[in-house]
Amino acid sequence: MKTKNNLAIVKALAVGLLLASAASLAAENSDVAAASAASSSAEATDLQPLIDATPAGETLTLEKGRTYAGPAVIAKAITLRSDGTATLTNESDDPVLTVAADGVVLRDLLVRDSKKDAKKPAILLQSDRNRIEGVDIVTQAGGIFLRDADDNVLRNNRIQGASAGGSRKAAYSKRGNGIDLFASSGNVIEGNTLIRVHDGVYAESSEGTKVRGNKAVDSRYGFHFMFSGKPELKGNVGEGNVTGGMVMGVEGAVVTDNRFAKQTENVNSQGILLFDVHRSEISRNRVEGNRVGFYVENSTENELAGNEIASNFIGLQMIRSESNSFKNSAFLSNVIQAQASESKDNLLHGNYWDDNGGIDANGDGYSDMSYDIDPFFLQLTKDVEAFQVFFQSPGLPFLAQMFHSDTSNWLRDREPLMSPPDWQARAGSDDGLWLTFAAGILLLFASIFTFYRWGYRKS
Amino acid sequence: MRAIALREIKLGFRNPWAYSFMALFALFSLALLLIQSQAGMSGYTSTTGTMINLILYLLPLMTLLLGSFSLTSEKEEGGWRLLSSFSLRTHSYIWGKYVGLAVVLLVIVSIGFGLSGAAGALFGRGFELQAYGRFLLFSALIIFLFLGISVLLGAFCRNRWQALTYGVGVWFFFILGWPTILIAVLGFLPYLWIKPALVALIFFNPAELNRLFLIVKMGGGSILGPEYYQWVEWIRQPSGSFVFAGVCGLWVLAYVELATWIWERGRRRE
Repeated sequence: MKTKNNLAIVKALAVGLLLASAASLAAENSDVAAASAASSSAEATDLQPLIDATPAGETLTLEKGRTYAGPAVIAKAITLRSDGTATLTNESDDPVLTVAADGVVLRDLLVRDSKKDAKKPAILLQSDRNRIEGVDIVTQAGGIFLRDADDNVLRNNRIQGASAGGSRKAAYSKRGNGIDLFASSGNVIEGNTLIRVHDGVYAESSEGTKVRGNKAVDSRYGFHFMFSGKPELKGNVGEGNVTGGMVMGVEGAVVTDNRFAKQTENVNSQGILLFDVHRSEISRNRVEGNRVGFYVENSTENELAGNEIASNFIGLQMIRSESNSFKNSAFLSNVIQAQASESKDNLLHGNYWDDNGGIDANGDGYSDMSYDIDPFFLQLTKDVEAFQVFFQSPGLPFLAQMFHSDTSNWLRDREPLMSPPDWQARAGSDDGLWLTFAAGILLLFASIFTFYRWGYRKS
Repeated sequence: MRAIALREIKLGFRNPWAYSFMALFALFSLALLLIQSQAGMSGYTSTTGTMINLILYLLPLMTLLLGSFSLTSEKEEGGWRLLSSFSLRTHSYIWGKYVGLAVVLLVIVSIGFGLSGAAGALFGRGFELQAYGRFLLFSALIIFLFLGISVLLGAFCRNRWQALTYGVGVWFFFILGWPTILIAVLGFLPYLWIKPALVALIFFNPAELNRLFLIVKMGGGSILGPEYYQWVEWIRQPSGSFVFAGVCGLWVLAYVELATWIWERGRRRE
């Protein structure tokens, strides 16, 4: 990043002249020629005068490789763009760009914000129907914040937070959110990449936010909804976050086709967390290799279907949740497939549990024996958290067995699927296996040699 | 000591028990590998978790029985009397026994692992090399630690029957009964004492100590919850491995030396 920055400055020196480029031939006079003699001194050009000189409805095209200094406020509907190499910088505590007018377009810009206040963004939207596309933000603070801003589209942006390029261990509390919505409705957030931020996308009190095809990595929460009605979380990817998708205090959420993996580092890590969520649809998600795949607490009447829960420490954890349904999902190779406590009237039906030895007498593909989920360990550790150290202890089944007196209130799948659903792709790779093979053969020969040389042969 | 170790290896491979355990271990690890779905061969998953439990069920029992039988049979069959007529120090005798037995047991698990590793890879269901190596190390450590206990048992018990009873008892206590007993006993302690007591006790159970170490090294530390956050962080560092190795070394040293002391006392009394 640093060298890229330097390069940009060197380029700016070499050019030494600011030209306005014709973005659209139709808008011939839209160009703002602000040739500045001072530009040869490597100083960034102030952005605000250029914006002020651009009439509403026109395009301000920033010059290739040049650096422009914020902060700037856009108070009329203009398009601010470059070919993707112009850089906006900022030394102040204000946002690099504040968008105060409706219908503004920001496109293909580099934003390098050096302020450190996690509560303040690089780009602030306070108006409606704006578009932000292809903007690359590196910041120690927040990324793009929306405040009372409706119907905006944020597409294909890239936001890198907290000590990007430096140590990645910056405390979560010192990071800002990547995309942060408050009291903003009907926004579309699509195809963005969020790296090492606080929350990748955070939506609070914002109705109908559509979050699609984004990617959040190494952040606190990948996608976080609080008290926001009908959010849509679709086709997103999260890796190495504390929690991939966190949905709290929400009704009518649609969480589908997401993929959350490797959220194991933190003691509170989950793939998808649902807290106080009601009447929502959570389907076709894939949670893999997380501490807890699905964590469901205080949530009712949700439909969870067709999810794939693989290789998590705990597949599904359900606490104080009622009347949810969990159907046609695949539970694969989780250390503990599911745990549930204080949860009743949940319907589990037709899921595939890879540790289930069921019997299918009538050949309908479903087992005639139910798959029962023992709440013993969850109850044990609820009272004394320190007993968590017995997780999967070899003696524990022995103890749990002794408490199997009343199983009527257990969570159970009455008709578990006998073989994995069709859609479940056979995961697992063969590469690297020959190494194990070689090691195995080597081990075999070494032990047989030892046996022959010192055990069998007369010395 | 070297002569004793070599003699022990030779004797060990004449012991039919060694072969039955070898067959049992190889069979079980192969069967497990073939039952499991292909997902989750690396990291902490149900496949690797089951493997840990298989090793924990079988290896300590195997080690305890083979080890203590080897020592008590020397008493019963007069091997020790014969050897005492040479100028042989108890110290080198016991350590020789320990090393010899360790080699025999390592060969047993190596054959089991070799088979399951090679066959598993052939069927496309093998572990990744890193996981494979970790299991091997884990098994070796279990053997070393429980062999310490079993040598002590062997020194302590008069005959094989006694060794069998004590061996199974120790195995039951450390492997099967451990959570039950601890949860029952610790329930009497004030809440704040439970965790420190638990952590201290874990250091006395080689099976639990090893298991937790392996889980943390496999990246499963976060499952232990916030109570153990610092422990997990600490074990994950390279220095954690060294301290762990040190603890294991101390364990073996303490048990074998104690066995030597008991054995020596018995020798004087004769």
